[in-house]
Amino acid sequence: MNTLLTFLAEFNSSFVKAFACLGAGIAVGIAGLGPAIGQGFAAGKAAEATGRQPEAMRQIRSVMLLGQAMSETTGIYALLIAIFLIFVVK
Amino acid sequence: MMTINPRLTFLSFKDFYLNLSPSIRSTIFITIVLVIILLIISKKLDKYDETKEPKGIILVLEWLIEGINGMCKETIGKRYRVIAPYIVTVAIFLFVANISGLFGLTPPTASVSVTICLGLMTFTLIQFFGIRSQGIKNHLKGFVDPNPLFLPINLIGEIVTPFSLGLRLFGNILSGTVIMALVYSVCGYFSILVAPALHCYFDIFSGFIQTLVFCTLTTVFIAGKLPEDELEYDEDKIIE
Repeated sequence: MNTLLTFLAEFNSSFVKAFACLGAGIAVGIAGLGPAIGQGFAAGKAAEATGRQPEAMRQIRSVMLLGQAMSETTGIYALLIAIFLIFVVK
Repeated sequence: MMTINPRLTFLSFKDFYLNLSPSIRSTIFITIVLVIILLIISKKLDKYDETKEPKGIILVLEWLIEGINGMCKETIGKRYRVIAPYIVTVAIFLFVANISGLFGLTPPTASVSVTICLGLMTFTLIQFFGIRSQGIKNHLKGFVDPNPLFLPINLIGEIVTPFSLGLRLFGNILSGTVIMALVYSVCGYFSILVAPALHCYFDIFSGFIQTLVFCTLTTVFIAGKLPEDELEYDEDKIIE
């Protein structure tokens, strides 16, 4: 109870900014996991496919890069939210 | 009777230009430079002898147009000649815009207004081809497919297209710009050792991949609106 009262007494606009920055960090940190796993999976499958069919390497590489660029999207959205949190929240 | 003072006109244009945001300024600058360069190249193409081996800039252009035609043939099929010019235009602009960070400009694609504008252009084309290939009635009927409960989901899925296209591009280029700014501020004079490699990745590689992704997604979305029987490419049955 005491801590809550202290918190409420000290709450001001700089707290909002601090929590916005914290939220931005957490957003990028958690959202970085998903695309990383997805891109690693795509790269692993591409390596497998190259091992099975080395002559198709160029095509496999371009398909892999395209797929990875697509799966990056969710991470990019999180980055946008983080940037908005940092620069828009005053 | 109004008289036009050339000096005042120039000054007011200059004021207008300098008051714009940096990304819009670099958009205008890049557009003007591209127009001039492409005009010079088209003059060159007029004098170009087809029997000789292509070289220099003509070879690059040939490679670009062959590549994009091939991509459009694969996904769009017979109607590829209608779409390919738009894709080439967007590809040239996007690539130059994405790598313009190398020339000391603010990349236009690091501004959300430019990228969402490009997304809206693609969106308009998608809707246009949807209406032209199915008729406006069937196109609108597609929104309540398979039953009217799906109307909100279908509508959101349609409306979100330009935003997803635009924000993907914006986020990628902006993240590159932000990371480069961080590197420059952290490393100081030592950034001369680190920056070139990072510029290669964030400006050239990422810019190229994002251009490719934008063009691929545009063709795929447009192909989704065309009738099935047109999608098979056939040399004899090209629809102009």
